[in-house]
Amino acid sequence: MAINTDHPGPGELPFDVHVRDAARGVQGAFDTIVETFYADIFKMIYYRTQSRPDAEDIAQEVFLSVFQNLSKLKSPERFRGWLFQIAVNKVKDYYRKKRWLKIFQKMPERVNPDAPESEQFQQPDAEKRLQEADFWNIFNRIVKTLSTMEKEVFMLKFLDHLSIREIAQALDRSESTVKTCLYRAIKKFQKEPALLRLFEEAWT
Amino acid sequence: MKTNNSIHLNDEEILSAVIDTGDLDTKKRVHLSACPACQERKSAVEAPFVRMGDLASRYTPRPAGSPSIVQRQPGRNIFGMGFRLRPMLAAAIGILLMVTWIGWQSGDRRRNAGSLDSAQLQKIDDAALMAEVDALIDGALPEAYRYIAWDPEPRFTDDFIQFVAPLPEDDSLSLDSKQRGEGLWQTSV
Repeated sequence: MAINTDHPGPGELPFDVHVRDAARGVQGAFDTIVETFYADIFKMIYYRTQSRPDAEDIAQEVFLSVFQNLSKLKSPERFRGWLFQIAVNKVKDYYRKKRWLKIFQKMPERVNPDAPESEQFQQPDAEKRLQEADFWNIFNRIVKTLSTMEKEVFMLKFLDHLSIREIAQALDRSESTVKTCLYRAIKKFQKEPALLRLFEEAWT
Repeated sequence: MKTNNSIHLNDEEILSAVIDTGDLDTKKRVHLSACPACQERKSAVEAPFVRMGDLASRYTPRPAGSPSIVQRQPGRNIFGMGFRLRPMLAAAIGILLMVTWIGWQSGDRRRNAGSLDSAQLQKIDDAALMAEVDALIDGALPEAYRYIAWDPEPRFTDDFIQFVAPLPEDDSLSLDSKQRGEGLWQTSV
């Protein structure tokens, strides 16, 4: 059962109650949290890793971390920002570990399921998968023009649909810093209309 | 609601509204909520980003299944690249032990050197110095002039040398002694 975390409907509990219950170990409360947020967290991680297996594993790590630390959360109403903060940190860890692994061991040749030459592109839904690959290629080219912080803020705002307050919490920055980064990101896109046009032409 | 064209939002205010509507002052916020022209301009700025978000969501595959914290496999890592914690840990411990052993050995050597007392060390230094002095005595002249050095041969006995260059009876009368005035002093005594 998915729950609207912003405006609970009639008969629905405000989400803070589920968070409090889960922290107290009430049976089923944590499952509700997972059901509500798993898809959002999986997507958020996929946007940054663009690998389904890695996104699944990291999402699992995120919820494990939530499970272990939920009792430490002081304000249940700030749960969503806190959850995304954990996810952001897990993604950072993933890239950090990946960098270390590159230094210390030769990575085994890994079949990239998203590569156009991959076997899945020969399957019936090949066209959809090719579109997917095209989209992510263009998306990566567009966001490459932004700094790391601008990119993160931009993605949390327009892809993950977080509020400014939640973004500030997730990135452990002030709201004014977040707004400045977002302002700069949008200005960059406005200065380089060709980038957005590239995107518009491909998907309109 | 009646809108006033004179207070239409400028580009910067539209951008502010895209970032956070709360940043606008109340008057502008009220205007934005009622003015279709300003709303359209705001939507025009937002549209490509909103669409990007929609497409990103559409082009994200579905996860294989929901997570199960209980059934999580211990030791499974997020990379699936053959990276395992245990071999890395074992290697780290091995390196640590080796570094400790090397440190221990060098410390031991330093301790042994420190255990010799200063008299013994002085003796070693003296012996080395004397060996150096002996070497200088034996080979005082450069190689090219060695031939002029006196080479005692067994056939040149003391008698033979006395015969060739007899020693003066009274050494105090030698030229050197005279020049120094020693002979005179000895005579007067």
